[in-house]
Amino acid sequence: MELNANTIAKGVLLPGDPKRAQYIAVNYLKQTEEFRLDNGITGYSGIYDGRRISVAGSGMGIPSVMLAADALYDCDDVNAIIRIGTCGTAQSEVNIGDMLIALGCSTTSGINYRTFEGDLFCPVADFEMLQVATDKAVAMNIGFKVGNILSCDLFYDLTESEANNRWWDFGVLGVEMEGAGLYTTALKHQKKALMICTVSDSIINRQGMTPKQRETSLHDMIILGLNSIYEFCD
Amino acid sequence: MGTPHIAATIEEVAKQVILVEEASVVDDFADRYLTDPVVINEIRGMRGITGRYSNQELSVFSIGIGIPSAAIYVNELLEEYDIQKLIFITSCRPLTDDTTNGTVIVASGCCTDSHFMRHVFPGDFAPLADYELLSTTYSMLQQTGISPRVGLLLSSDTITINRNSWIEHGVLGVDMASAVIYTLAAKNSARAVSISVVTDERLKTIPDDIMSSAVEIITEHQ
Repeated sequence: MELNANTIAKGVLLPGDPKRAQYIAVNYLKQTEEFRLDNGITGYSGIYDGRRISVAGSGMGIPSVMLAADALYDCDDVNAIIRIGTCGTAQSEVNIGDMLIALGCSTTSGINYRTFEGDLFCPVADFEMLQVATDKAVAMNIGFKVGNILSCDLFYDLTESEANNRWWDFGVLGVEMEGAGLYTTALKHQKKALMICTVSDSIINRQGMTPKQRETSLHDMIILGLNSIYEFCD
Repeated sequence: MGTPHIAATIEEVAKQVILVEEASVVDDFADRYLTDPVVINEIRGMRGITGRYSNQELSVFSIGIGIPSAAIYVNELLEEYDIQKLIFITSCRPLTDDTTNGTVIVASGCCTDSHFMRHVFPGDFAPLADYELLSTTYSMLQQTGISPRVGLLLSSDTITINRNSWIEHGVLGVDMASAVIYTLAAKNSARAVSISVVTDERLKTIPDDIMSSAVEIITEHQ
């Protein structure tokens, strides 16, 4: 692993888009320096409010995020990852711009199928991180919902089958493409993970965010992510 | 009036419900904690009792052992009796060396080797606790001096587990019903949380500190 000494912080913010990671480093961290992991993942470490924090992009999809998380958690120093990203929804009480925090993730992925020989594994958030993030959100006066988020493999669905809608009947709040992979990897390493998402699209309304909405909710999510991971970086 | 498995009328069942596996635990509970207890269900040797604890009306039901049995009672309670919130108190077997007898586990989510929802979803639905109830449960238990572990339970169809992958992924203990309770609560937009006590044998009696916490939890935010 190609790292400079003290390059990676104990806590890492992990958006999907590497350009988003760069944006965060440039706009929110000071004295940043780049790091590079063996598998080509690059990231940045810098100072936020006096503490060293890292940020990297995971790429899209569960396989991608699991590689990133595995490489990060394999670093002895890294103990906590917070994924921040966007998600869609078909849940009627969830609106564009809402902030969702995943207590756990359902998934259509087969990642745990072989490990658990067909039985059901339940990828869940680290409870301590969850408490920290929700406390911070309350203090920052940001509304949020905590619940079940679906991590799926297909951005463009191959079928319109009825069974695909059943998740929503069971209270799933949103759908994205990485959470279950991150949580599973964290649990395997016995380390910490949390996922915070902003709803950018509603499948039922076929609506999307306005540019202004994107800007504001993204900023809120970055700040919440930074303030939360901060607590795990001392 | 009544369902195939529960004889009570809607009025006889309190809005605050605690679930346990066995009828003997319900009887023990009623003896020790409830004033004016009334037996409202005895079908198939199960027990449902409504009474008052610390001036709160409360019902306690036994739901049997295992996911199939639990699913029957929980379905009927949620759909026919319109219960919105429930706490399941059970024993669980330890999976890791540091979960010793007496450890209290509050399940944030449940794994399972049951196939009860294999045909329902094109994938893995995550049975999760209701977050607010989970937070309240954690705080209340801490206030009574218990340091609960919050994490994964495995709800198994069988008594013995022989796979290391559960342990390697941080699963704390094994019970036999929580996964389906969480799933049905989610489907009915109801709140559920499971509190399990690590023990080698079946839970015969609910420890006092858990009991008082459970009542505080279930009656808060009515």
